[in-house]
Amino acid sequence: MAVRIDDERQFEESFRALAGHVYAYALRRADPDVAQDVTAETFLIAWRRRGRLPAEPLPWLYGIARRVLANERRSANRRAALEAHIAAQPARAVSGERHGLLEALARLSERDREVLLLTAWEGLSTQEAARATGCTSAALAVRLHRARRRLAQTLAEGAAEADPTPPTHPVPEVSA
Amino acid sequence: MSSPSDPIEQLREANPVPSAPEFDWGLVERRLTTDEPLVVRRRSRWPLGAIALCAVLLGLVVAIAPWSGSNDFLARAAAALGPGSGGGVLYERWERTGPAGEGVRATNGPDQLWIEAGAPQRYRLVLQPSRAGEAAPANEAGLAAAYGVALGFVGRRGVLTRLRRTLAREPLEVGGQLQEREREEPTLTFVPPEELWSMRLSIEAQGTPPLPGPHEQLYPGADPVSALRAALVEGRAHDAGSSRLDGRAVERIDFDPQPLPADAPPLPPGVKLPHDSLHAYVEAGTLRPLEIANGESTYRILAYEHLPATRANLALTDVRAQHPDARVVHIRR
Repeated sequence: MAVRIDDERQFEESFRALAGHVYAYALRRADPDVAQDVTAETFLIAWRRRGRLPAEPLPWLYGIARRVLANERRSANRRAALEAHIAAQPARAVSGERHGLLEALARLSERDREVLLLTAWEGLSTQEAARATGCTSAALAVRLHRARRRLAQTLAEGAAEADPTPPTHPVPEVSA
Repeated sequence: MSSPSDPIEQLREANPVPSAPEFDWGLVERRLTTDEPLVVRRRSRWPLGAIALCAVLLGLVVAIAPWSGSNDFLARAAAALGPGSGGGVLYERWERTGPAGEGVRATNGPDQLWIEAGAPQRYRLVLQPSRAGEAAPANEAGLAAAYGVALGFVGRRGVLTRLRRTLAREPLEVGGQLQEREREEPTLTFVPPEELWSMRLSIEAQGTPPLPGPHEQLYPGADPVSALRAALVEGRAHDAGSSRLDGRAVERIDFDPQPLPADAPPLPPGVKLPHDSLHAYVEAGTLRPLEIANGESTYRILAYEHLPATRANLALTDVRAQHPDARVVHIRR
């Protein structure tokens, strides 16, 4: 069911409480300055569409924020910025496991990463994540399943690289 | 303490912003105040939808070309539409009927696409203004945001009003390159009377395709045929028999639903799988595609031709070649 909003006061009453969630979404994926811009831009777009707003707007707002963020990244060498951001995460972390996890995450496609993060970080249900990404719940379920599998696989590969199996045959000595 | 083995649980624990922080709503208010009076014209079709249609069509050609020897119809299709009949430029003209608001459907077009068969798959797309006016599909909002966002950024340079005014009454003519390695190539939009606006609205940037159905399976367009080829090899496309469409003898091809992985969560009640109702009608004699429907939108294909790779035909895929005197304006944020 669509909701219509007619003035700024009504818009603020309905949306202000969601601003922190959208800001958190952006902050998880970008630096604070960019996250602020992305959040403000997201609500500007919501305002422009005030004649027809979804009854449950948060997943929809995440969907908009995702696209705003994509534009941000594209214009500033999107991929490099994302990887730099994710690479910076372990510095704030205390755990080597978390480092490995975020590294594995960075190796996934953007599509896989987003569906995983919407579920894990934004805490969306399958239906909500589907609304945020503009696909059906069924398609989202398939995507999520595949993304989980790929993340687990990437994690396992990372673990294997970090802890290589000792050689099972003698290694010849090399004389100078 | 050992960490959980479920990657989702691990991710939850690694959430860098575990709770929603305060956000200065004043930043939003300032944006609203400086935003010009705006009636965003939401196109009921966006360029990638049409490009995805192209992908469907290309996929259809592949689907009925020689990968499934087990079906007589497919063998005939292979003979009619095999690689020998392909050309340097694929030209399509179509109308789309789909949702245009709550309980409303509208037909838009005809729209046209010229796309190179080979790399880098340069394309030119011409979309007619929407006949549905301000009404737009309910599920389009988030998706249309992709284009809306881009326009919003353009607006910071003070050109949004002009572009919006143009697109509201003129066809949108846009071109670019489809292939993955060319994604950084800017998209060119013709703005009358004689400008080409160069914007980085790359294919990838538009995000994942909006609609359930074939688009998801075929996207991105860099190699759309491989997805349908796989579908055919797996036996998920088949001849559904002869029929009539607007008095013409046609054959119907049904694409089977893509099965869920064995350990996927159960489907919510009433939810259908992608591909669940994807089908196509092809002309009985020539086997040219006439109509493709995905349960939500129906594309009526008015023209579908492979043009030889002559210089003149290749120029049809090139927005710049069509407007040689136009000034290129680089739109940057």
